[in-house]
Amino acid sequence: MTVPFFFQTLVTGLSSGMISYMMVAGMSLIISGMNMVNFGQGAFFVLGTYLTYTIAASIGFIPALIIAPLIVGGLGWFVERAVRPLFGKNMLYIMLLTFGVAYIVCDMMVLIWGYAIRLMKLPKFLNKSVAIFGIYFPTYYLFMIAVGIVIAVSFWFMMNKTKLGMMMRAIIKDREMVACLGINVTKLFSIMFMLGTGIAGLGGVLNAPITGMSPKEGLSIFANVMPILMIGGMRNMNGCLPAALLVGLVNAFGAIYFPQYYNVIPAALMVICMFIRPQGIFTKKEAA
Amino acid sequence: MKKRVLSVLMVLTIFTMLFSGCSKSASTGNEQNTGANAGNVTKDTSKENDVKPAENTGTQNTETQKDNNDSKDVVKIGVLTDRSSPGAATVVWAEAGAELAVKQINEAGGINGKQVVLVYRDTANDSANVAQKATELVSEGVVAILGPKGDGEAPTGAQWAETNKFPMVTPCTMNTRVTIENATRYMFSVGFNAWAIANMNAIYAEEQGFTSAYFIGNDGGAPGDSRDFFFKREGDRVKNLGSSQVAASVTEFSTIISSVAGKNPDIILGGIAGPNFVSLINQGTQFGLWEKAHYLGWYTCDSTNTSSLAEAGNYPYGRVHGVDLWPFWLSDIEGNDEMVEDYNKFGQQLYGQEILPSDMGYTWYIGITAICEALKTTDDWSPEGVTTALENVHFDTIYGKDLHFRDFDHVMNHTYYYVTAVEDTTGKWSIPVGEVYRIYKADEVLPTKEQMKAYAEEIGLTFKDLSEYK
Amino acid sequence: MISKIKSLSQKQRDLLGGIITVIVILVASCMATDSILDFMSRMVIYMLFASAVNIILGFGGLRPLGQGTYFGFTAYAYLFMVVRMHIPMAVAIPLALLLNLLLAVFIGIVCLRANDDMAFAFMNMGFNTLLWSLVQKMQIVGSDTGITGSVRLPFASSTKGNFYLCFAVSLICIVIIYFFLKSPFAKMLKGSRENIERLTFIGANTHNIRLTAYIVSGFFCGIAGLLYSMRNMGAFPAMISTNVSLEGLIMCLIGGMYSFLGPIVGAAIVTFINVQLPIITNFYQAIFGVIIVLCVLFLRGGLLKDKSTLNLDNSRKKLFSKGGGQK
Repeated sequence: MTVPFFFQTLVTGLSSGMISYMMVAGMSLIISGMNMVNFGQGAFFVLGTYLTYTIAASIGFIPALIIAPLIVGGLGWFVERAVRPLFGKNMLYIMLLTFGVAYIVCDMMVLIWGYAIRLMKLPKFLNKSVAIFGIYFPTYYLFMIAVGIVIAVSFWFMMNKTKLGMMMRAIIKDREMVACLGINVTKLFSIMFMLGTGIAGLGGVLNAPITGMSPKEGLSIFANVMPILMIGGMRNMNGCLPAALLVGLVNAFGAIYFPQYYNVIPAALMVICMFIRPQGIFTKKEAA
Repeated sequence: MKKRVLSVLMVLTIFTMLFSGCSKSASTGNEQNTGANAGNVTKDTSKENDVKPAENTGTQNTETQKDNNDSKDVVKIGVLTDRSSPGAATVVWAEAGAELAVKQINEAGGINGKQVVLVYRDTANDSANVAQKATELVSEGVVAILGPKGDGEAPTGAQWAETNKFPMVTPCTMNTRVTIENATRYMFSVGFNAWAIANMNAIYAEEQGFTSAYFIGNDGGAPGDSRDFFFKREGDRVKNLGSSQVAASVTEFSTIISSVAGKNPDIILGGIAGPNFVSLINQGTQFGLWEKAHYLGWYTCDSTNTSSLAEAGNYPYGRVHGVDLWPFWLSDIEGNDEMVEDYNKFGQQLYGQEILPSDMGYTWYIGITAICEALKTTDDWSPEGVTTALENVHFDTIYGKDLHFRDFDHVMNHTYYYVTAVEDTTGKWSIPVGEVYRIYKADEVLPTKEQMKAYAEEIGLTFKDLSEYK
Repeated sequence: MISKIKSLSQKQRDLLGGIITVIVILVASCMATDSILDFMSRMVIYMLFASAVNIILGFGGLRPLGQGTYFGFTAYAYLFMVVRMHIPMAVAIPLALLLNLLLAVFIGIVCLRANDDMAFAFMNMGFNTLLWSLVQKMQIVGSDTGITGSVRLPFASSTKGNFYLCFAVSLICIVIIYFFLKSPFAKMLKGSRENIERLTFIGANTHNIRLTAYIVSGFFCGIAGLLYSMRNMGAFPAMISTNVSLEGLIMCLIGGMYSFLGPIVGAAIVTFINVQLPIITNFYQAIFGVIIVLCVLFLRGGLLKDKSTLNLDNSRKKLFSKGGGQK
């Protein structure tokens, strides 16, 4: 394998990992913070994509980057309100409720946008290639990596350096105590959920110019990124990014050596990781 | 107390829906709405409410309305469609093709004076539903069935047709193994043929002097065939650099593209359709793949694949080649432009969508036309009678003469157009049109009986010559 | 009359409900057309599947998101043996069930290692997705078309005959599950659902209890899968997909997780919706989604409830309404 090829594969793996990270980051936040699984995450992702088609056609791609996640987050707020009576009850109810919501959102998309496969026009300044160390690399993929890094960094910043983040971390550790301290846990939960779905929407926006999407894919797309959740550790938000990048890289190099079994790689990787470290590779074992 | 009332209302709603499901009439659709809406009154889940009133306006109530018509004046043809799986992305194009055929036949006077009506059932791309929905269609009184829609459901369809001795015409692309294993005289194919596609791609590759190929395709038998038969024929001349098969739900091709680009193939053999095709071509353009390699495939000028790409402005004109069935850009063929316009009108009428011509729609169109032409030739509309009529039917369309099913494998003898997708210079078409490289008659590229027999022996199956069962 | 029904013990209620269901199905099947018989055999098979899932869901308290694995795996194993390897059916059936049992043991051990509920759920789903992707890749198991072949038993090859076979086998299996759920082992299982720490203190090996329940559940799911493959005369990727697993969960949810007849009722409702609604409208998935959402919000615990759960709920209500304790 030549050196330029190696670098190209590396960068490709990182960028594909970043896209998956977008979808998973939100889920990880929701799972660790609220202890509930949002099966409808795929539907929000695809909704973000479809909103981009409409918004970008009238206003432009960069505004869409901001507006679409807000709208998706707004929908997430509605869903969270529906879910609220189920806090503390069997986790299964929430899983199935979000699954039902996914069905509804997908059919809503069919109703509004129709069945066709869609793609979006790339804004001109992104539709080029850039030479790095002599290898030509598509600008858009670098843009995606950049946005991914920005999101990851702002997330980390918010979680670790702001008051809001401090409250969220506290909730993750011990919800009841936080409620006892008089902090409005319910409002924070809403914010968490909106953040989670908003990030998925943002991932959908980034996905719009490069992937053909049809509305009903929202139901199955979730299964593609589930291995990342498992590898990073279910309740560990910090493990999300390294896990996504790891899976992206393994995918990239695996595509060279195992092309036939390309999309089985994430699931197989997950099974292997579960054997070695059931709590997730990037999770420290909790002190008993 | 409120919760209890709501729970009771929910239970009532469920049971109302169940019983209305039994009676299957359009009026109970309204009942369901009001019942379920009442349960939603106190919750501000307004998004959920939005869906249900709209559902009534967009419903495909074709068959329930027609049920009320006098059944003596109509002849019913059943259609197995897919409106709810991810494959439903192409359903508008497919059904519009079928309805277009029905319109043309009804305007020409119907079949012996009777109007044709389509009865739809949704199998959701799940083979387990095929047998049941097909049996339901038979009980509705259809004389033949067009379907199933998905390539994966074809063997079950063939199996059902054989067990129930009922004629079925499928627009799927069946792979050769499946065709041989499930050969039955009651199944007819109007779709593409994977072996023929491989042959045509091979001829093109040979004549253009390509020397290395990489295959990217969906999981499935037909794509696998289009690769295997290609290398069988061209294995000495074209080097096989490898093959990637991806699931239909995969959207990220950047890793595959980057690994393929590193291997520098002359051609990418494509066995991919739908959203994956759009993603692959688009992402390939980002990586400059199409400047190095050509793409050989099928459904080349099919608008389900091309319209989104053309809109996004990223289509690699002149680098995508392949097999096409519907040469919609040939305006000098009489009747072509009207057909294209009518096709678009049906898309708007059925689903409120603008649609441009598609090969998938064309196969559905030919399927219905074949059934109707067969029905015209006989008075015996029993399953046996219709099957015999289909075996013997010969008809013309504006694109070609003497379309019929081959007697030994019931594959239709389409005229295949091998094209390169280019930008339309007249400005009429927003999607790529085909620059015709060659027009192939079916016998030039479809596998012969001897070839099928030899292949069957190779894989350890017995080849059934369907002409012996007439 | 109502008070008389209320005073019946749980056992009598179950028996009454069971007998009514069996009679209704038998009567309906006598005057049914072929397509309705097809539908009813699907319903009966899913009743068995839902009951099997409920062993570990309702009674075990775990969340198995991947029971579809066994449903599809047995079907594929059976079809592969009969059609590709030409093994006679009488040998293939027990062999397929045995392979399924081994798979259940393997996956059960791996998934229960982490001792974490959520990890269990997702590992399960992960295996399901893995097997589904694999099945679609390998040409030898038919890739996206699956394997088709005439695999119905010779004495049950017509639609009616096959329906009675499915019905008989499902009935026997459901009765076996019933007795299994009445055994002392099931009491321990219910205990592990309610309060696993206390049970561990008593000295019971909760890991083994859960594992055994999981294996039994997987075994019966496999039998359901086998019957389904006979009904369809084929094994398809859709049978091993996560949709089947999720549908099983939804059936238990709608019908009632904590009662025995609940999943059976739930299976009937969900199958009905899945088969009949698409005929009326294109947006049946949205309606299905709405039903799920409403069920989860209002009918928590499902339509049918165990007598003991009902008593528990009533006493809890009384306790809170008397002004004692916080919500």
